[in-house]
This record gives sequence, structure tokens and C-alpha cells, in this order.
Amino acid sequence: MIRSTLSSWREYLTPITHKSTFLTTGQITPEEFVQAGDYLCHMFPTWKWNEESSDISYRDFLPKNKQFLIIRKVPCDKRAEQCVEVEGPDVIMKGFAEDGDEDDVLEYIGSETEHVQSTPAGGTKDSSIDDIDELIQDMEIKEEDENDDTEEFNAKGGLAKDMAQERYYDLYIAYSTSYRVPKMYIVGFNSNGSPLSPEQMFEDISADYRTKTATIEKLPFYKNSVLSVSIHPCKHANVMKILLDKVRVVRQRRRKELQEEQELDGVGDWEDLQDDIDDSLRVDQYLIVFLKFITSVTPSIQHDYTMEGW
Amino acid sequence: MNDIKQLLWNGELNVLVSIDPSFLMKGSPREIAVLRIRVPRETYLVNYMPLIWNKIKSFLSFDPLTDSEKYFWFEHNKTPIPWNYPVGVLFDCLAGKSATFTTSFENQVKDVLTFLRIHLVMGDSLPPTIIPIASSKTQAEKFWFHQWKQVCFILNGSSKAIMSLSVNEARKFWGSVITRNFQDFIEISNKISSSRPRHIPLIIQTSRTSGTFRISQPTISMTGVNPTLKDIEGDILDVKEGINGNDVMVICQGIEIPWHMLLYDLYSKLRSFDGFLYITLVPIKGGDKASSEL
Repeated sequence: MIRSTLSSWREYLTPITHKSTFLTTGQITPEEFVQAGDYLCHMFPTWKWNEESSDISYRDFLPKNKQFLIIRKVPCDKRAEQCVEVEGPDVIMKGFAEDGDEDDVLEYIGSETEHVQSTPAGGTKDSSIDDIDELIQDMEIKEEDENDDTEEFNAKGGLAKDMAQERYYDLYIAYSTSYRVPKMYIVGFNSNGSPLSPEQMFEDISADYRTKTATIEKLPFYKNSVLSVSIHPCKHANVMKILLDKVRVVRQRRRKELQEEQELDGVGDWEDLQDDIDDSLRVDQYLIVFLKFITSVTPSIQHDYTMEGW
Repeated sequence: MNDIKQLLWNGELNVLVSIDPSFLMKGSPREIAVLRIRVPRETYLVNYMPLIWNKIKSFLSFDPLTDSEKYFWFEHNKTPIPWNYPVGVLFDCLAGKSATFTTSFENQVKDVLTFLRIHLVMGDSLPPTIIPIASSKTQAEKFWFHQWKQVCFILNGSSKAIMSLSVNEARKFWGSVITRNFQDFIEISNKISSSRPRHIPLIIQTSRTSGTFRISQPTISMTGVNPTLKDIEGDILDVKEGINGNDVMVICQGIEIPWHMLLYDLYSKLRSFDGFLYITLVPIKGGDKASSEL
């Protein structure tokens, strides 16, 4: 709680910057946060901006109807531990260097992936993730495996147990002035609609992050006291910077492949406009990639119905 | 190719909308119940609801925007017609159904359906398969955007291309339909299209003797092939209903299409403003088959 209080003072005292640096630092300005939120709500309307209300503690650098983003009643049908096959003592988590070394950061976001790679088919944790395409492909395969597993489980009469495990989360994304990145808050409820305790909510945070980045705090944008678990944003900018670089590389590679295919086929009329496509991620799509990262922190909370990030 | 697209984009139809007397107060002038409008083929009828409400608002017996117990829909010859198909596609179907569809000039001048007659009616419940006309101003836009999401997925195997449009582009896209801005429409629809589609978004409409339409949406794979209509005849024709290729005209955008036409060419030139290629099968009556070709 002391950490939380200090954090809120830091939030209050840190000056706002309006200079866009998201491609070089991974940080966004409040204006870019609004732009990214507008895009998220317009294209994927499970997310909404807050409605103006007397219960909200407004921050004057954001519009009153765009203080934070919210998605409600997101299902969470199992605990974080059940989403991964933990390899045991061989898994090593590095600490983070303060300057955000790329390898550290990739391990940070890739730790979940290492678990994912350890599939029953015999993959090993030593397999390195050097391509986000492969990473996503692996995640998709894992998803299918999970679906198969679930069907089998239900067939064996595990449905009642499943329902007892069912939880729901309200997720909030606010803007952190201290770190100049979005900050995620989760508020959980059990299947009866009763609020979860922070300890229970921690069960839905991936073990790798639980003690490092999850913080118990009250939702800062509500005047009423609503207890939540927040994902501490101290490393978000570094993670986002690495992901944004990866997005650019993947898109560049795909564009070149497409151009080569077109040269082989002869140029089609419809592809003329490909030339004006920038390989970098547009800032309004920042939150799409951010949600991918959050999925690795809260793997069992099924919030991300947007689209692939790269 | 854009010349053909521009011609289609500019294509218009005369539509006569008659409003059921139940909408109006007793004693309303008769002429108020009839609206003659020229409507682009590439739009939805429902986009004209504000115009219709505005024309009759002083004579309405109730408030259609707030009365949630009433349902409205369009009819043609007492058969409900869906608003969620492009107007041109509705015309092709209805003209074909009334057995007056032809593409030959001689027949056009003497015996052709020259305008689309539709009747706006209301009731306490909707006919089956008809999507209600909502009071929301964004109903058509949302529906149309979902159509494009489907199209994007069918073409590319992913809807990422359309979901990656910025908010401004997405608004500009629908705005191009409303303001009839062809350049904006082409610019944005090209971002969703593919020169190497996985499948072709195709919708087939066949009129039945009962007055209803059969809608089918076959899966036409384009991987490694470039089929003609003849090649996919089995997918186009309804074998169960005993339709034979020699008994029907293939109509697309009001034009009779030869069976040897390449599907991809047809799609890229004649797709509708919601991204789908609509083919209407019109029965050939007594040797009236026209010989015109593209």
C-alpha cells in the first residue's frame, strides 16, 4: 500500500509531455492514448471509454469522456497456472536491468511463450523465440490444444468444476503519467458476482509476473474505493519498444515477400496502393499490441478479441 | 477497370415508394403517400428512411422513431423485400421475378420494368428473414461494415486489412457511399482487396415460383485456379431445385453475363459496394434469352 501511495504521488507530480516518441521509446503522449483508445473502441467495441460521471476523479489533460477505457465481464474460466505447463526449477527468470536490455525484455514477454513451447508434442523450453510469427503460430496451436483438452475434460464430467472456476473481470486501461504508457487494472468477480479478494485475483496473474509487476491498489480514477490489481507499468515502454520494432521488421519482410510475388505474377491493379503503407505500427494501433502483451501477463482472462498485432 | 467501376457507381434506378395508409392520419393528402426518388444501384433502401420520414412527418399517426412496438419493412407485390441488399441487386431480382428482365434493347423499350415499386408497410411482427428497420442512424453503416469484414476474411483469410483502417478511413469509407465519392471509395476498398484472393465472396440469388428468393453463398476457392462461371456451374445452380444452366440467365449488375467469363475478372469489375459479387439467376421465358455479352 505504501508503494501504491508513492506511485499515486508520482503520477500526480510527473509533468505531462506532448512530444511523440512512441516508435523510439515505446511511450505515448496523452493525445496518442486518446487516439489509440478511439481506434480500439471504434473497431472493437467490446472496449468503451468511460462515461462522464460524478464518481470519477478527472485528470484535466484528458477529455472527461476519455479518462480511461473499460471492458466489463470478461470471462476467466481457469487459473493462470492451468494455462501453462510449468517446467519446474529449470525455468530461470532474469531480473531486469534498469536500462531495459532487449534480451531481458524479450525474456519478460517471452516467458509465457517458453511455457507454450513446452507442448506435449515434445517441444523444449530451450527453443528460442526469434520470430513473432512463430510465437503467434505456437500460441494458436496451444489454443487449439487447449480447446481439445477442454472438450475432453467436459466429456468426462468436468463441467460442474469448470463452472465453479468461472470468474469475470472488469478491465480498465488508464494513462500513466509517470511512465507515459497505458496502465492496466483488473477487478475480478466470482461466478456469483461477488468481488474477488486481491489474493484471488493474483491467481489469474501469470506466476512470472505475480510478484514482480502486480500491485494491489484502489482504482485511482474513481472517487469510490474499488480494490484492483494493477500491472505495474515500469517496463511497459521497453516491452512496447521491442514489440514495435518487431512489428516493423515483420511487416517489412511481408511487404518484400508480397512485392516479390507480384513481380513473379505481374503487378495487379489492386496492389498499387501498397507503396504508401508505412511498415511501422500506427500509433492508433498501439493498444492492440499492448493487449497482446497484457495477455501474457493474464493468460486466462479472455479479453483480447481484437486482431493479430503484427 | 476503374471506368467500369465508375459506370456501376453512377448507375441509378427510379424507385417509387408508396407508404401504407396505416402510417398516416385520416384525411392526409393522397400525394403525400407516394415518393418518387432516383436511387443509386450501389446503396441501401434504408438509407432513404430519413427522407421518407421527413416527407410524411407532418401526417404521421405515430412517431416511428420512438414507437418500439411497431415494425417496418418494404414489400414488392406484397412480398417482403430485405433492405440489406444493394438496391441494384433487389432490382435485378424483382425484375427477373416479374419476367420482364432483359438486356436486349428492343425488349427494353417495349416491355421492361422501368422503375422499382416498393411499398413501406408496418405490423406488430416482422416477416421471417427480414431485418427490422431500426431508428438508429448507424444501422446501415454497421451492417455494411460487417459485410466488408466478411468480404475481407473471405478474400484474405483474415479481417486484419479492414480492421487496420484508421477511424478516419473507416468513416471516410462509409462517407463515400453516402456522398457518392467514387475516388474515396476506390481508395479505401482497394486496401481491403487482394490481387491473389483465397476465395471469392459470392452470393447467388434465385427467384422461386412461390415469390420468395433462395439465397446461397457458395465457397469458391481461388487457390491455384482461375475458374470461369462454367467451371463453377455446380456451385451456382441449385441442383436440388432442378435448375439447369440452359434455363437461366446469369445477371450481375443488371448485365447478362456469359458463362465463359472468368470469375475473378467478374468480381474485380462488378462487385457491389458491400464487397460481395451478387449473381442473380433469372429464368429464361420462351426464348426471350438475350444475346448481349459484356
